[in-house]
Amino acid sequence: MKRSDLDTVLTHDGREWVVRADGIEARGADWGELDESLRRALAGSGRYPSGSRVRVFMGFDFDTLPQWLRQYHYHYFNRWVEIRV
Amino acid sequence: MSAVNRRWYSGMLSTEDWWAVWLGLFMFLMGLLSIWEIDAVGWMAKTKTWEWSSFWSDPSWGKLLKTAHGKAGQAYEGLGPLGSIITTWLVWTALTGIGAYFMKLNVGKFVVGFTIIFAITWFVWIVGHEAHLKAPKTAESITAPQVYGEDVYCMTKVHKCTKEIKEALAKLGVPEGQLPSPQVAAQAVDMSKHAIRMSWGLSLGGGASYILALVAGLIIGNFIKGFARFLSEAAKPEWYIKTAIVYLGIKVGLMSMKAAGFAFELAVAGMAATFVAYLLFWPIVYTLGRKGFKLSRHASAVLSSGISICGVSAAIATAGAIRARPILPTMVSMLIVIFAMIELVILPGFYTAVAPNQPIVNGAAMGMTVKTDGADAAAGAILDQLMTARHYQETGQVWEEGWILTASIVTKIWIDMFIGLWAFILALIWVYRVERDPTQMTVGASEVWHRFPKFVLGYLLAWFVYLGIAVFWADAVDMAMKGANVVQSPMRKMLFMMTFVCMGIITDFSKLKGMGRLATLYGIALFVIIAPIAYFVAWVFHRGMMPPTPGG
Repeated sequence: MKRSDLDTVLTHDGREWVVRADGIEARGADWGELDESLRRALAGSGRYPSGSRVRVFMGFDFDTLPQWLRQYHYHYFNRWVEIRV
Repeated sequence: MSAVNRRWYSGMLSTEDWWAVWLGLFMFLMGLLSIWEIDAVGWMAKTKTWEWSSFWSDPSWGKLLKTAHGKAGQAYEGLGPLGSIITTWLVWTALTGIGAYFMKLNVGKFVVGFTIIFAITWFVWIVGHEAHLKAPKTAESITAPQVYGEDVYCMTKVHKCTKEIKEALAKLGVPEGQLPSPQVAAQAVDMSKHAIRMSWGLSLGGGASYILALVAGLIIGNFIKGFARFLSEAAKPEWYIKTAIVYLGIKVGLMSMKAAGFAFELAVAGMAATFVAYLLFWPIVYTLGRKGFKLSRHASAVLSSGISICGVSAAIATAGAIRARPILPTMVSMLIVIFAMIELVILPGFYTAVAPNQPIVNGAAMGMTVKTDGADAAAGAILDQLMTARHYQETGQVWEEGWILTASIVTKIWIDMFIGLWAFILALIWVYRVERDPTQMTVGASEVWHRFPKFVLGYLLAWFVYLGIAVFWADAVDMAMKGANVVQSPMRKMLFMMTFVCMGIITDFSKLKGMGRLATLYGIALFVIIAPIAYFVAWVFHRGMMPPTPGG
């Protein structure tokens, strides 16, 4: 298992991707927007010094998919990104 | 509480796929205990072939059902048929209820739904075993109708009727090999315990029950929708069929004891055919989607995988690999489920009619054409029954039951196993070539594991353990088969039947409305591209392969 600085849960609300973890929330219609939103959220949290690189694990919450669909497959994807704060 | 697959063991207690392994291996182990003369599965109920007028002249449960104890000792003799069906319900409700609890389903609603589905399943299963629908003609009626008449049917396996008639002829003084007079033949038929005369019969074998189960489910799913929604908590065709496929591993193991070479040949041919079909299907459908139907890259990719590979699981895996919005695989999956039902209704009868002499080709083609494991297994099972019944009616020769079904399942299992690898490759292409995501660090190899179908592990384990017993512990084979026969026959068939009912319940044809271009592309691709290519590829790799004959 790879090590991350921050584990987040990734969902989609029908319009945007949403990432949440420990009071941090970021949103974006595409990955560029989401990562920028996350960068701002990390910077605003005060937990990471300016200029640091944060390895973020985004685990997709499979409960986002309708229940009838989950019996066919139980994994969507996980995303590993590095955000420069 | 979120359902994130972070670690290699994520989902082991919370997903249908893993619960198929647990239920599968639990009964597999219970069956194995027969080696030590412990009968832990003989309580299972079994259907019997029954005849309408005989039943109503003296109705009893014993004419419809029996306990499966016969071959695994007499431990459950006292249960009787009604006690056996109640025990079957109790055990399976408890086991699936435990699974439902860990999968965080509404356990109360699940148990009620499961009970109703169980009752519908057994009702249609029993109806399908009425002799006019199910019973095959005796071999004597097929090969010597001028002596025996064309109206002699068999209430059990045909070789047993043949044996009984032969024994009766011997008692009547007819030398073996000599045709009796019609009067003596009629006496021998009367003396046989399982041969009966009927004015008509469809001789559908187990296919009659499967078709009735589908019809019952479809009526609920399309005409009693409120009831279907209520049952949806327990209508889990993928869970039931994956568990049944683990039990099929036992059957394949037992069949491999008798025909190891053929089983190996089937597995290798299935892998090769699947690999070739993959390489052809996906790029053709993707190109058609992009160029012909002007779909987005995401929509084309998800649809191509769904239609080319293995239905819903491939659509979800691909959508995840290319990180499409979740609504896309959801829409494509609705299409897949509905079209799978259409394929299931059309293809078994069609293949039986146009290619009655290509049983294994037909089975393998079915595996590559019909999407979703449940629909494929259902189609394979119906095809198996229809083809073996037709072949027997036309030639008097019996094909061993199960090999055509196995051909369709083997190709599907290879397809399922390739999904994870294909999705991983697609993820790499998408992240590093198509989208060129600058922040993405890597695509984890764990994605392959998370997308691997876990029930396949149970299937392979069951197969190889029974094969291993045959090779390394020959003295235990007879005892091992006693428990195995209960698990791989009545238990597996019950789960198949429940799958058929549940598939009907969750298939609502009205959902096709508003699907427009996607539905049109799906229909064209399926019937104009996938089905013909799949058949050709199956023919290339499986032509000439024939199911073994019992004792052959």
